[in-house]
Amino acid sequence: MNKGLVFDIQRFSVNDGPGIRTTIFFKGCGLRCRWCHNPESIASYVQLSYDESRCNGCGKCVDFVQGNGITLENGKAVVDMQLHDQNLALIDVCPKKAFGRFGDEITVEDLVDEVMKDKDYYETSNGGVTFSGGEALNQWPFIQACAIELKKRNIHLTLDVSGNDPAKLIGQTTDWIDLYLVDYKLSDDSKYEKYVGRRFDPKIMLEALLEAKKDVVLRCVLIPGINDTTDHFKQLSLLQENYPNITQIDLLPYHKLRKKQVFHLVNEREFYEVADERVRKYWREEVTKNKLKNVVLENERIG
Amino acid sequence: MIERVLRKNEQNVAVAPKEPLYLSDLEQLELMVRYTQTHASYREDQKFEREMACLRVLFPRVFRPMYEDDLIVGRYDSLPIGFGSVTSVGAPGHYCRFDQVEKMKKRFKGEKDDVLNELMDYWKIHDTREVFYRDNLVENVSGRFVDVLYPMIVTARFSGMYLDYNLLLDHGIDGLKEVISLKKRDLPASSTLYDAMIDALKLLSETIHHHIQEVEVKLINQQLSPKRRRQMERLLIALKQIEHGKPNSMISAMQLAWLYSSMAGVVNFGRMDDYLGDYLVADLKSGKCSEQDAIDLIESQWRLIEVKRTNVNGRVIVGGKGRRNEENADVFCKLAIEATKRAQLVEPQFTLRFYEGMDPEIMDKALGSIATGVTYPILYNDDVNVPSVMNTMHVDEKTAENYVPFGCGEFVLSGMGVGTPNVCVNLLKSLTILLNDGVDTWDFKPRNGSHSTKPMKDIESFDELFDEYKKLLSYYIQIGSVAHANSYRTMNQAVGFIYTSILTHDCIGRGKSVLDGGVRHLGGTNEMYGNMNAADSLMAIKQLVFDEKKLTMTELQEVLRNDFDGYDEIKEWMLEAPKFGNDLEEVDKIAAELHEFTCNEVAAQAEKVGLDSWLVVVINNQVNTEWGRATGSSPDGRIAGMYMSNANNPQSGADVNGPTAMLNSLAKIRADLSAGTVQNIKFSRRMFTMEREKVKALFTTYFRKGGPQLMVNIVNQEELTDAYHHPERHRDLIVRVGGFSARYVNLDRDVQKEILERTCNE
Repeated sequence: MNKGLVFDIQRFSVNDGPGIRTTIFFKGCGLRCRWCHNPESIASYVQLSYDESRCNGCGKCVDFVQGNGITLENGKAVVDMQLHDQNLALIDVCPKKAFGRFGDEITVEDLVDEVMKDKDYYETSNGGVTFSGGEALNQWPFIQACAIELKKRNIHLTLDVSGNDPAKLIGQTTDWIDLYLVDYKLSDDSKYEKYVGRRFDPKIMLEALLEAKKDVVLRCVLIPGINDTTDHFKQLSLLQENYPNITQIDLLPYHKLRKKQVFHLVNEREFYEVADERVRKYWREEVTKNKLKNVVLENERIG
Repeated sequence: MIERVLRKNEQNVAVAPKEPLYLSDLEQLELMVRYTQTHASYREDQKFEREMACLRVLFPRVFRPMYEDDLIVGRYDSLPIGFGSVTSVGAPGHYCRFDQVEKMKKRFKGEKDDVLNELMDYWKIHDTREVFYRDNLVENVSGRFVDVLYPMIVTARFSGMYLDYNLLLDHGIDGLKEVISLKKRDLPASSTLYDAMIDALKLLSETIHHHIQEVEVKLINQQLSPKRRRQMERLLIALKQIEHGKPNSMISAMQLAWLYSSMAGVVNFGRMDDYLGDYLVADLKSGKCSEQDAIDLIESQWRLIEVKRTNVNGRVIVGGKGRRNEENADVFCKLAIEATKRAQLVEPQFTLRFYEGMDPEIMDKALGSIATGVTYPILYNDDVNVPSVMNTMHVDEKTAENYVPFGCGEFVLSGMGVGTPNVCVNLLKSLTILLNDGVDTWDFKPRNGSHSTKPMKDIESFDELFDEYKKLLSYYIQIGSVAHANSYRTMNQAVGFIYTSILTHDCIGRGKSVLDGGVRHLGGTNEMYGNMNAADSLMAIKQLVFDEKKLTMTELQEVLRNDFDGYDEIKEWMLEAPKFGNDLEEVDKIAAELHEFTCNEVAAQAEKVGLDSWLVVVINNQVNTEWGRATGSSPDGRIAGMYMSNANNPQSGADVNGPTAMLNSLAKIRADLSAGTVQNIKFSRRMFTMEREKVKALFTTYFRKGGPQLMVNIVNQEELTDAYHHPERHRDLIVRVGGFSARYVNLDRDVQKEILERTCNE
């Protein structure tokens, strides 16, 4: 695989592993988590995006599609994003650059050149490069080609994954990856289909990583009333016991922040409650109750 | 089209309104008349006697009573007519502030028109700057300070002098008089100067005596709390000690240095840890004062500095190589950081020079202070700057260790150098003039003087364009260099700057005043503005006209002359062209080339005009906004009248690839060719406090890559947005405007907008 499909390269990432890092976000994911905070990552092809704030109502796009799926209302274009999901030609039509794209192809060489621009910062801070997404594992052959080059240059590599690994690829990664960020989304098996789109057992991956003696940071998005049950915290403590390679548990409170641009959603997005002080207090209590260790809640060490 | 209307320009770059004067208008008028009469009663060849006589009219009269929380004394007002060095406290040399006299006329409601007009008539002939402007402005090329219609402005001023306080404090007033008397025997030809110096020190004693009396009276007459009484008694002891003798405590040393600075009219206050550290440590050891006392004292000193509201000066330097006693100085340094953090004031511009091997606690304390949002200390990297100064000023390492930034960031050698920025060039305006075949697109006047620019329609390659630009800049620079050298002649003819000369090497040794051959390093600086807009503009032209051939040069001229009206799409292309600050090789290369060209071209003029150095500085003091107001539309997509980018930094909001990319771009601008640049970076409080270690690593890496300095702005974006819309709610919000700090609410609207848009790394 000589090209990767990427939707963002973020320099000075501080929340995707140790030190200062560059995070590469790969497009395409097999899951359909309803609470996904970057759903532009899910479809594994390049998608059209539209930013209404840039539109000046000139109507060039309406003309271009001959009125099919784009109308002008109150001086702004209203776009049927499902119809035009892959109509990338619109990008050059708009003089105000209101249309954009999520997803770009990149070669190994270009990716390596880009991330190496910050090598001095990685060195000072013990940082490196993180492969994330979307589901990075889906593009493992490409990532491996990058990893080979980056390892020649002594770069620390982190892989950020969902825990879902139907093709059992994780074993192939352990020769190249130094640290793993693994999601732990739900404890209740019966809820998987509904909330993340399919059933899978993240423990399979954890087992493989334990055997390969790889450090893992468990990443737990907590959505009040949905997955933050008392049992969930109990399960976390069991995981911590059974998988001593889990060096840290990140508790990530659900948030509603989303990008300005609209695009065609391929998951069934739902909005949930954002945790208030009362809920956070409950989480802290559960952490203590279950004697969880090395827990980090928004940069603060608890437990 | 943008309407060609100029907002009124202040004389200097005032942002905070000064407090009202203590003396009544009538009292001021009496002094102004007496000053003028005194000045008129001396011949031109009696400049030293004249200077002293005039200073005697002012001091100690212009000192005002101390405030009830002052721990040391020394507050004075500058009158509309008087003596000074810089435009923010009076004006340089013997001056008359015509704008202030006009205001006074109005206040007198016509009753004093006669006498005030007579004064103005006299000073129109004799005011230092007026004398300079008479012979040194070149038609259609250079204007007065700050006439934004010109691509270049020139002036006579004496900014950035840092005195050798150690010389003063080691000897005390009488001791120093003795040194000078001895020297007089060796160089009798310089008797007049030495006599003036001794007289100056005598006047300083008299001023101290004046304050002794003030304190004594207060101690007798006022109802004072026991704590206040103790403070006043301590102050009285200090004043009595220094009236003639050497200081013997931190308070007496600080007091003597401060009163001297006041009389000298300097507005940058030296390497304070170097000259006060020993006294502080002795006091702490003997129990004469506690750490808390010291912090209180420093804070009191800060308040005296702040009230001057110079806005762009008021530097206090701590840290760095070359201090006499590093250990003692570090003690002062740490307490001063603490005082700064507590005081949360806009001035002094508290500056930390750091180096590899420095006590690590100092940097941690510094970051802790910055985190509170006060934006101080400003960080200067000795490991880059000392070698830089060795290179640009041609001095050895030990000498270079005396470098200090003054004002908005210009380097000068402390206690032994002159580096005032008497020429300013607007690189972006210059480019718009070139692009319009020599005619400024702001007011449609020709501004290329006697220099012929090649018509744009005949330009066939980007290299040719860049060459033409360099030729035009070279033309301006050469004219500027002559004006700069002449400004020293003008000032030297009129004044000796006696107080400054005493504490500047080697004036006493050589028997010459500072601009007369006394100073060891006669340097100067040239402020450049609009650098990054110019670089971005060149990039846009290269891409659109020469690489992609989407536009001809003639079409480009048309687009810009019309302020993009009817050319929406082309404006978008220009805005989309690569911008400096994103770690993009092509545009960064252009920025670096422009920087190197201007630095080298300016430096090359020094020898020709008799200066030891003449160096570019790329700093900011709001002039980027003011001058932008009179600069036409530019090919980077910037519309006429809009602010230009801040010093060396990317245009506000143009850096979109994060702080590592921005710092990488900045690191490509060579620090070893100029005498000071300014690098701003802004973080939300959240980021800065929660990710302290990573931010520290960010800075460390940047410094190791050759970054000379950083000014760190810590603000909540919400806070700023709210401050923009509801200034009344954020009176205490302090932000950095490139080379100085200001209360956000005091800034002009468009400056506020620019700061709001300056990238916030969330």
